[in-house]
Amino acid sequence: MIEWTGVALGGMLGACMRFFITNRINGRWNKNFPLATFLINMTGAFLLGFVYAEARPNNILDYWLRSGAGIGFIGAFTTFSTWMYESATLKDRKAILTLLIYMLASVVIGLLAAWLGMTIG
Amino acid sequence: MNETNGYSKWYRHFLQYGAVAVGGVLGALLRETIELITPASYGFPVATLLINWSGSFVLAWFYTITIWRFKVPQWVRAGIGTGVIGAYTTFSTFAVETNSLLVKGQIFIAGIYVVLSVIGGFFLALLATRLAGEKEESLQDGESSRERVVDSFGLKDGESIGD
Repeated sequence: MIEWTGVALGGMLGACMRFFITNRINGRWNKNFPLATFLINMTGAFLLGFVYAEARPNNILDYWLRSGAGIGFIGAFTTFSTWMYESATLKDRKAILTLLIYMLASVVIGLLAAWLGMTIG
Repeated sequence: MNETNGYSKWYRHFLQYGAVAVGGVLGALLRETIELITPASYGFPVATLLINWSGSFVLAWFYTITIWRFKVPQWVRAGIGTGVIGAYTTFSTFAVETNSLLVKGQIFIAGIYVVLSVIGGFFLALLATRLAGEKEESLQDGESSRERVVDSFGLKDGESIGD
């Protein structure tokens, strides 16, 4: 039950945090490049790498941290579907260079960020 | 400027963040359920792949059809799109799983996982926008998806969504 409570509460906070940050950034950023989702995903990849390296499920606190912060909060904070929807929109608008940069930068920097988090954690 | 579509700004905030909060709970629980019930397949993260593929398809379909055919209130769009589907799919798990495969020396499997996730997700999203009625010609040059959203809900120019 602890795990499900953590996932539910974390998911609630993570989704709201993403909504808040996206609204803040989109109100100021008028370029094609989907900056908000990009920054959210890179930050989340780093944080999840850190949490997974840090929280081996040995005790109750780590169990909470893993399910609540990792699976719930960071999992819901980052989003794969918005990344793909924005990419499809960029393709339709023939912004192919921006599309390629968005795709490649997300994969490369996202993997590096997760690796960095796992290494530091 | 406090009144848009008959609702106060505070009320719109309340509706939208409430919908995203409820949606986030449902999306995260659904993701974890699928992660737990999907059988392990030789170390390949098949559960996350299925989650991200299905979410990419459904989000693109939902966002497109609510622009062109069924105009729903912004809080419904935020609750289902940003809340449920946004929290259901996950980038961070994708990145950490790929790293775990690389650390274990399973470079080929990691490569397959990345290519399947990204290329598959992209074409599923593209297919979904077509099925929902999007045409390439319908998009004006330089028009952002955000502008389309703002336009379709009659928000004033320069007013950010849910803000």
